[in-house]
Amino acid sequence: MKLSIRMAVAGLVLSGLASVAPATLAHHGWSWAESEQMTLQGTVQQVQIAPPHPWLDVRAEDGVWRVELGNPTQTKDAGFVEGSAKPGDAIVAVGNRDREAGTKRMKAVQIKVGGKTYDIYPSRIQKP
Amino acid sequence: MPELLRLALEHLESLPPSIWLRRSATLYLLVNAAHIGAIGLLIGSIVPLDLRLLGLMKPGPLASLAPVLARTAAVGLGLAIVTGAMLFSVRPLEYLANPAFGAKMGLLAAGALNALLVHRSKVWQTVLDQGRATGGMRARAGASLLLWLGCLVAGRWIGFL
Repeated sequence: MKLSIRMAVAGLVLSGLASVAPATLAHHGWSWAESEQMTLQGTVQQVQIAPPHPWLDVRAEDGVWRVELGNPTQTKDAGFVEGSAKPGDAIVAVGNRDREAGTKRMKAVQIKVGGKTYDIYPSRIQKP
Repeated sequence: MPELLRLALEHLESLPPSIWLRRSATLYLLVNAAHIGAIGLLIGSIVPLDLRLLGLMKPGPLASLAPVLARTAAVGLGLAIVTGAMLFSVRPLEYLANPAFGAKMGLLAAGALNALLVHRSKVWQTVLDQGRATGGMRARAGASLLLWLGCLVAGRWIGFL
């Protein structure tokens, strides 16, 4: 009996440590983002195409936004590769923003930059 | 950031392994999987070892379990460091600016140092010779448990900042 109580205590401590859950589940899935889509206009500040999560930093009127793209394969399949966008380019990004109002972060479904349109998540692009 | 460090990291980014990992999504996922596997090996052996040393797990003679679990944990740690360094090389400047990455490296260093000190200690020799953990050994096993699990959580946190 003593043993099982000790095991229970150990289990409790371990599960307590494991359950330290982050506030936002960025990158993966859509649950952290609003269901309604927004359009962001601005200039590209920085481009990160490397895995695990490609992103762009976009300077808009209200500050710098982190625009997350798809995973590396999805992003490449959309045609967006190294050199597709460079700092200073004008950009329009359509996507779903973070539910947390103060966080300037969105997950893009479509971006328009350098005269081209990239459909990152074609099935999620809402028809007007 | 010191200029020399920035130059070193930019050089790291331009080395072939870093370039290959950025070019090939498949290679990246394989190295990523190897990193997870290595962490599984480390956590999967250090947690039972620490619990056994703490007396929270009973079965099995400690004198024969301890060396096997300790060696498995060391191999897991070594593989995790090699694969982790490869993943780090893909975006070194970004990871260095991530507070969770800093916490992870701190916990990793503390965990590794704790393990090294235990390995050289008399209390570890007592475990191997007599199959029993003294009070000092238990305290270090408790520290080990907290450090490695903390390192695991900090590591996962990197992607959420």
